[in-house]
Amino acid sequence: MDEEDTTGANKCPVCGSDPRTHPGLRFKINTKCYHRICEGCVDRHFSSGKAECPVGGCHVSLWKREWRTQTFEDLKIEREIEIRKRVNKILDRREDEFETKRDYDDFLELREELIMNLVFRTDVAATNRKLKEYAQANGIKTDPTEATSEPGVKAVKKKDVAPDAADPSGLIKGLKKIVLAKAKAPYDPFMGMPRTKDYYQVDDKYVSKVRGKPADAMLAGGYDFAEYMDECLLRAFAGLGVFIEDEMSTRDNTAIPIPGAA
Amino acid sequence: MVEDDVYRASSQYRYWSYTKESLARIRQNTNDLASERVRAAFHRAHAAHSAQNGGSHDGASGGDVDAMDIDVEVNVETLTVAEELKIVEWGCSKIMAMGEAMNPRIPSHIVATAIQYLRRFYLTNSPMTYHPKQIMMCALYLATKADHFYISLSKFVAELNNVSEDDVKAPEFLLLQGLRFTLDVRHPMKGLAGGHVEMNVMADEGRLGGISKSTGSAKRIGIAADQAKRLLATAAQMTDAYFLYTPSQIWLAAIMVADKELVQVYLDRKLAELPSNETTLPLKQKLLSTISACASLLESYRAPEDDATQRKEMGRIGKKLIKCQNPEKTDIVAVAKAKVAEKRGGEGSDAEKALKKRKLEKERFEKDGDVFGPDLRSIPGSGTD
Repeated sequence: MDEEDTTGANKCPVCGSDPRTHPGLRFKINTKCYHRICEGCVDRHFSSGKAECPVGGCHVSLWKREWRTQTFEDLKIEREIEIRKRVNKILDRREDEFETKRDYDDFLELREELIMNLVFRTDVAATNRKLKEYAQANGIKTDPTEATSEPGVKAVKKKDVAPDAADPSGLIKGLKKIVLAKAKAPYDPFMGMPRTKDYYQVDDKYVSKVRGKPADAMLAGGYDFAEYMDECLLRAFAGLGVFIEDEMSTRDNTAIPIPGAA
Repeated sequence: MVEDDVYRASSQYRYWSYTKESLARIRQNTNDLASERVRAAFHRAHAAHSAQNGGSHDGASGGDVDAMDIDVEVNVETLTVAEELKIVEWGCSKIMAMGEAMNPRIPSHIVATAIQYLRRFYLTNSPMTYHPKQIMMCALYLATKADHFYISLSKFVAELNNVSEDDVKAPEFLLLQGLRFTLDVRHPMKGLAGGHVEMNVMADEGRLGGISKSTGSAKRIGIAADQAKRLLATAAQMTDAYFLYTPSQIWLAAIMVADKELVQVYLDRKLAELPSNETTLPLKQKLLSTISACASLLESYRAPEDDATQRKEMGRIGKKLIKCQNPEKTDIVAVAKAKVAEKRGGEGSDAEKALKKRKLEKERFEKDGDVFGPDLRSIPGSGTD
């Protein structure tokens, strides 16, 4: 970004148009090289797809959609805000995700440091690499176009990291461990009642045997012979091993209320 | 075993299962209590009677019976437990006859339910208090309602001779009370049907040892099952089997009466297939002894029509019962009505109450004067004259 372009004369560096000569002239900027050119030049250069920035000496290739109207007068602020937006989107952690307040403050400091690195162009490559690693490890999409171009990268997860670690890339320290919710047992409508029986098993052979002589009620729609057989066999064996002589002698059930005795 | 716990959850197990001793004890208690009450009732009746006839017998009112007086009635001879049981059995056989005579014929398992209701009722009530002939219609009617064979009351009554709707309806609450409001009766009949099918399948597969398809197994099992079915409809109902054994033991015992070897082979096979093998041997011993005890109970039953001596005995007990019937409970319809009236707080019917209220109001108005206030002229200070 050149200082002269923003602070100098208010004219388009490509076509030299000036708001004084061209009333209603509007300028557009992009967020890659932050050159500021007029709307007409954007239309002219980028209407046929991707092209290089038309400002002399700048070889950043751009799409037309990357040009937008300026929000702030100062392009430095515009750029810083843009960087903050991008970094905040990636390093997006709330205070309650940290173990202590101190950890959160450390995180805020780290974020500020990264932002300032980008703003003042110190260690830009290393900072960008850190952010990218972090984003990949945490499955954050940084750029919609980027993610679609290389889908395999996102799926890669480091094996040596504990599964409950809150930040697999290790950039942010002091995060609370992720408590994995225990897998719920599937809902049991029988509430633990056993569904298999001990004494018998309803077999198809039983059903075909009983089907031989159906009563009137059995011919009704929805009548299930297997269920009938199940009921019969349950009745046949329910209480087979219950010895009343033994079980009732321990219980005193002779003290039954005699109606009208009082 | 899962199935055993299913049975343990039933009201039949919880309320209506007894050992032989406790059963005898309950019956003795009931008999003692009822005898006492019958005597007290005769006392009261006698006292009221003598009071009407001039009140000369002061001994009767004091409760101290004078031997010289005509106190044959007061020294009433009450039934014994065994005689009571005979009367109840007579009621059971009457229920059976009623079920057969009905049109449509009442299925045997519903008749069986009614019989069990009657038997359960007479554990805590004595025939001296309520005669079975008063209760049995209601028991049968209740059983048709409880076991999904509903007949309307008017139709039900039309099938019976000399019975009014009130006779059937009146003891219903009394009966329910005696049943402790448990209407579920677990019958061995359905179990027999299931066991019959299973025996057939096992025989077809050759799993019943000597009893296999080649030796005419189906016929043998069928004959045994038929005989067992008859036993369940009669002997099982007329004895205390339902109180002493579980339904699955009863149906196996019924088959045992018909074909002992079949049950033994079947149980051998069945217990060998059980998932937990460590407890099967003592279980088998116990099961066999229990079932054979039940079988001998079923076998011991003889239909009362079989011999003349039993019929004679019944006649004797019947006559005795007429003499010692509790005089205060003979008209069961009146007893039921009195109970309802007592519940309402001793007052008369609603219509009577309304009438009384209206009368009171009318009296008040008459005292106060007109409904719309007194005559204008009589109001002080307003008159012109």
